[in-house]
Amino acid sequence: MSEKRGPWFLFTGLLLGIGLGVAIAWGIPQSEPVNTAPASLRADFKDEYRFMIAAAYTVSGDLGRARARLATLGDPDPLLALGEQAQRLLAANVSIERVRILANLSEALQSQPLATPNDKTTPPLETSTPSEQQPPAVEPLPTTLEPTEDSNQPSPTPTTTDTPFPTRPLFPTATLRPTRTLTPTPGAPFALINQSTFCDPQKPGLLQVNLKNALGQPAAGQELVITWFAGEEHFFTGFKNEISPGYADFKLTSEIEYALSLSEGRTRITGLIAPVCTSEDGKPYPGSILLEFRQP
Amino acid sequence: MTAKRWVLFFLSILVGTGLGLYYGWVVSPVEYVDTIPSSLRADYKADYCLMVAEVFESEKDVEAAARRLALLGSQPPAAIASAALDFARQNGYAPADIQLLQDLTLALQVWQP
Repeated sequence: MSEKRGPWFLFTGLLLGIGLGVAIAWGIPQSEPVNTAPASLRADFKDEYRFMIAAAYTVSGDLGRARARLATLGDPDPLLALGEQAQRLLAANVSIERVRILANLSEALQSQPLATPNDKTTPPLETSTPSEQQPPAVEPLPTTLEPTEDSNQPSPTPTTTDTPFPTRPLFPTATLRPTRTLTPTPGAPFALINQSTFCDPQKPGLLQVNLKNALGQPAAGQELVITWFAGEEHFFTGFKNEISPGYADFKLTSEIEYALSLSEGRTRITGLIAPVCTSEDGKPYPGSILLEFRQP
Repeated sequence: MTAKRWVLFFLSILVGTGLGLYYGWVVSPVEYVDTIPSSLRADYKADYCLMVAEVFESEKDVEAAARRLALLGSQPPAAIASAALDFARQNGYAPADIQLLQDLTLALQVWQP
């Protein structure tokens, strides 16, 4: 009498093999990661990389290249990332020049939209997909390219799974622009169009500033200087885009008088003191001040 | 179990192992996070060097450039810049970019920390 068995042992073997294969693939890590992308960098290294992108843009003025570089960091919102980094720098009391560099790039990104896909001024960026098994055929790039402010599309964010790196440079190369020093954009000084106070227990003691340019658009990257008897601080619009690109705020302390300067000191508002508000349970707390400016 | 069944069983394990490796290495590979700049792919390293070179062209601060390049590893900054220059030449970077990297490499080679 023979015992008839089904082919279930094959299925069992298959499952065992799959488990073994996955365990080997995932369980044997490389001694150290190699061929990684900027998107996988640790946060502090990403900050440094992002700062270098902004610094290089300040010198070269190549916004398309800066945009493509920022894309490799894999930030869901590069503008927000720039703003948050600037906030961290301000909180750490680092040189204001470093913050200005980030503000410069942030302002440029907001003020200049992406080029259309039919823009022929720069060659398409090299892309690589996990399915590529061979590097693409090498084509000679033009020796000089038209300097542009925009590129066709940001390069995709590679992952560590990318196949061997393309033999063409990842980023469009452009003719070097003359070096430029960081200078503020000239224009009419911002004029105060509205000043009001309000009480918000959720956001006590806040100086809120909204700037709009002559076209009525939010003005990002504008430096604001707030002074008081004990000191001075600089802050910038454009780092809280979730509210507005032209928005900035500063924490006020009760009973201290502040003065706000902008437009390189051509506009100055003095006598800023947080109003006294009363909460529902009768306790006082500092109120907030809203200032709205517009370029004539 | 007959010998034939054993053979088929081990064959199925082998096939399964192949499928598992394919899944683990291609479909859903390990992704590294919190990496350090020295692990960056060569083109990203070269581009970072190019950024340092662009800023150096304006600042002319070799020490600052060396400090920034130190992020890419423990090699001497001149060696890091030289490697980036080689990559740029091999991959058809624009002459202006190659010149920037050359200038940076030369400055680092003569720089005494």
